[in-house]
Amino acid sequence: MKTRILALAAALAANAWAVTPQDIERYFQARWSSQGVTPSATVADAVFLRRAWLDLVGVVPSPEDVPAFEAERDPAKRSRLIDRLLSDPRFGQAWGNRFKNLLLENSDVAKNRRLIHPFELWLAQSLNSNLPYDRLVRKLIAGQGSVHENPEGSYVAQFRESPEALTGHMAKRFLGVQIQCAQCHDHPFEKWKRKDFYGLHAFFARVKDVPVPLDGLAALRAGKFDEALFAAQKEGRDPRKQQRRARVLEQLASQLPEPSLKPDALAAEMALMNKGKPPEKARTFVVVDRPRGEAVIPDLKAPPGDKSKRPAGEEVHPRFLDGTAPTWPDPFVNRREELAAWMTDKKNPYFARALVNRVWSVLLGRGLIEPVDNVAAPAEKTHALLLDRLAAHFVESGCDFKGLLRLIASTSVYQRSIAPSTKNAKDRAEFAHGSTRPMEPEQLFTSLLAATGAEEALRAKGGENIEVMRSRMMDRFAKVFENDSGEEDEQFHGSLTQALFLLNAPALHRSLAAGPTGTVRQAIEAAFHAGAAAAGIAHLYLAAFARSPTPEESLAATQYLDASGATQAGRPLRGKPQGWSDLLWSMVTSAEFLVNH
Amino acid sequence: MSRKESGCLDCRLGRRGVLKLGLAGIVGALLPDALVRSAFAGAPPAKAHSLIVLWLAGGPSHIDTFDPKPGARTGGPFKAIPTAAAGLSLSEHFPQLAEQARQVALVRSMTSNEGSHGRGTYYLHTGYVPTPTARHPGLGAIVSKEVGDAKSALPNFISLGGPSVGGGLLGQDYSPFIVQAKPGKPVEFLAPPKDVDPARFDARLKLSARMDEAFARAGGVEDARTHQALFARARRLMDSPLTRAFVTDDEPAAVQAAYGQSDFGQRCLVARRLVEAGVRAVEVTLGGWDTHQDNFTRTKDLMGQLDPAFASLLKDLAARDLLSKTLVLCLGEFGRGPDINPRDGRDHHPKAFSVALAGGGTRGGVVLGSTDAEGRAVTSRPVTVPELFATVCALMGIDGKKVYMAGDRPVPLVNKGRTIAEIVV
Repeated sequence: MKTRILALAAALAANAWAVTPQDIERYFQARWSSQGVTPSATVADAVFLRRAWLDLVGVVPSPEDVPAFEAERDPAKRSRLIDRLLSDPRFGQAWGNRFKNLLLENSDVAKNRRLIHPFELWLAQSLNSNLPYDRLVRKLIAGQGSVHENPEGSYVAQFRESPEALTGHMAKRFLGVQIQCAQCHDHPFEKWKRKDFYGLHAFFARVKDVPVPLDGLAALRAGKFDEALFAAQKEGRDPRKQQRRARVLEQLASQLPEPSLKPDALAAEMALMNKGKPPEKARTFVVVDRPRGEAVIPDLKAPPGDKSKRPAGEEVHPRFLDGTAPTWPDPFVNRREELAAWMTDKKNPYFARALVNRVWSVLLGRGLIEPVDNVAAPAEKTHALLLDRLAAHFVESGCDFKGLLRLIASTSVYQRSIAPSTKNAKDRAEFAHGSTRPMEPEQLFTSLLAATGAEEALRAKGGENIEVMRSRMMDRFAKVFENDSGEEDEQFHGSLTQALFLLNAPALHRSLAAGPTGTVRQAIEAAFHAGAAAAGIAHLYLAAFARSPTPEESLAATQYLDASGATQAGRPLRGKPQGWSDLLWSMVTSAEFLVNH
Repeated sequence: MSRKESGCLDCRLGRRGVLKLGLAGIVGALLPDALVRSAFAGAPPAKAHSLIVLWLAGGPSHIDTFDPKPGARTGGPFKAIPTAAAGLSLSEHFPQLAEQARQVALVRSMTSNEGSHGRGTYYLHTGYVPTPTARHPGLGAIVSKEVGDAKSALPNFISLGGPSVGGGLLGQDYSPFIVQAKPGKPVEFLAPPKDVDPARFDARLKLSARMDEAFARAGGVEDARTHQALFARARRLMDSPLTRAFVTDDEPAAVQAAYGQSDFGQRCLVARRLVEAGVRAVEVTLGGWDTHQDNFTRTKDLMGQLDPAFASLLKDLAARDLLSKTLVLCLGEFGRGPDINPRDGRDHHPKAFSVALAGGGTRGGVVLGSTDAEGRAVTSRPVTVPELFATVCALMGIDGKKVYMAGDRPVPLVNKGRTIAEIVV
């Protein structure tokens, strides 16, 4: 075992921190050959194109992109594609969305819906500008200000009902450390104790979110404290609450940072927020840090008491997971800054591994280490060595997020076919064949708009309000397509409601009708132009599957069109477009469409 | 937080805990369901075939509804009225329910520590407090998994007007079929688009099957199979005459009126029809009980919706000889405290609240437990949420000790509660 690890270590370039795609390939080649596993073939250009589009920009490629990519002669065209997609503005949206799903887990709580859109916009702009990942996480952990102007604070604010859950979630998502059990008891088989959990928890003991009307916020920033207070007073008539709020407002005024959302994103957000309501009615939360307050390790043996009162137990002070404690330079320091600095420090053993493992699992359907959020596991785990090297690479690259995606997507491991070979069918952990991954709701929504051509109609209809319209449609769509597990699905599952939507939803049906624009119309025109159904069929396959039909598929589709009266002996007829709609319907509701493969 | 109720029980089990679970638990975690059942025969005999949950979202004020305190300073303006059951008084705004009180087992001594909506909703749906280590299944999902018929055309668990809580670690197959549409009308997306006639619909499904065959050949075998099975299940539902249960226009006007003109009332009527059609678990949501302001006006209005619906449901089920086989459970995430705040509201109060049960093997006309003169604290026979879940599972013929795995953690269906013997026949 040890010699094999050494051999594998040698397969990774020694000394230098930089890992190349070839290093990763050599690592897997060595493993495959030592285990007698044969890798599946590398995918064809069209398959690679669709996979990379969905993974990097969250939507299927357009029908024109497929032949253009296939025709490119440049041997480096796949890396060029990756670069192009990483600089596409949709990259930030797609990955922002993914992070949102991982980070705003309470987003199905209705009252948190108002946190979602600004959070997504902020993630999108940060990822598109390739904000180094360590800085991104610092903002998420330590963010202050209004969750509309500075949406990074939403991550912390969403846990207002159960602050302990924040500590467990944060450790799991950003550090890959499963410390949540230690909230109630010392961990049975990992090293974490309750005092570790509460030591971490204590960094958040002083954070508070304060509801403020949006117009009061503007007054606060302008230094008009009385006006802001007045605006806040309209919020409620409870005098005790007003007094408390007045004290918090005082701190709040001094902690209001400049908006981190860019002005255009902020304006778009406000448009969504208001939805016809007068702006002064819109409320926001401001995340602030109070100057005092300590966490307590609740005494589990104490009788059940009133939760509104301070729980009985031992006071606990901030302590990092390695047992060291921060020294505060100033009594009013934002403690969360200190925690974020420790988390994102180059020497932190968890931070980079957690992210690398997560990204690997998004792109390859499974983490290098499983479960994906438990990277603190010991080094004897399969692929722990590779994960360490990749993590070191990531840190040394300055937490270059796009760079990490580029590295993994450029490896031939990422480009394996999902079709297993006889010698790797059972394998999952060695990545010898690709895996299918169900589309996330946002990917599916965006891809349905693209593949049916409804996107174009939406643009025409929506005009300036297109983002508002799209966002409302997406909200409705998400109600149908969100799964309730809160975790990414490993394989396509689907619910009865989703099936009924795909089979019968009028909105989907309309987008598939032969309207003046849209994919079905284009297919019909292509068929007339060529004088043959096959040209139209090919267009549908490109739009939905990003590939050309096989001759058998083309023939079967032609037969369907003939039977429906849309064509006669393969020649298009005017007046009966239904068969074309049916064909595209059967594609965009199929398993091949619903998963990334 | 008491250790017993701590949601970390499941995680405390860990590897060491497996030893404590004993053989049945371990084998239960490893063997297919059927084998376990025959090998250990842990499931109690079922008294109820179906479960109807009336979910009062927001946390109803027990003091103004099921546990009236008319003499108390904080008792509010509502009077208590006697009911058909001796010793069981209810708020004056439950006149119809009062007539049905001999069917009702009222627990006035529920107690919990979860005073926030999210956590309380999870707790009163799953019997576990939320923990990051396991996603516990909701009660409807447990029923669907344990006693549901995987082949039935109608889903085994249907949620009317609310999201409920899904299958969690049991899997999405057991999550509720959620019907948000206007009650009494056909389910959304149940019928094909207007211009898709049956012949075209069939032709489209054949095309769909062919698409999936091609994808299976390209390596997507599992996905293609799952996808076709899902479409087949949807098709079975679409074709089933049982979906008539959702559409109430064939009910006599007097019956529709009896349930009240509210959406909730009409959903209760649908629930009765679904149970008649064989559905195992139905949840009906009535929201709006989070009365931090204007508690009395709002609670009175909500009782005006709950009273005719709940009472008619019991009456109707009994008239059809279904009540003995249908367990009705009426509850929210917590109660509301006796202190009346400056906005004439009452705030969250998990320490003492009421749950009403009826039918399905419960003992009617019984009051269990009591609270103090103000309704602030439980004074006799405190009942925990796991006890309530143990009771419901027992009545439904479900072995609450049955263990499922959340990753490598064994999680029993019911978190260690004992059946509440006093309210069971």
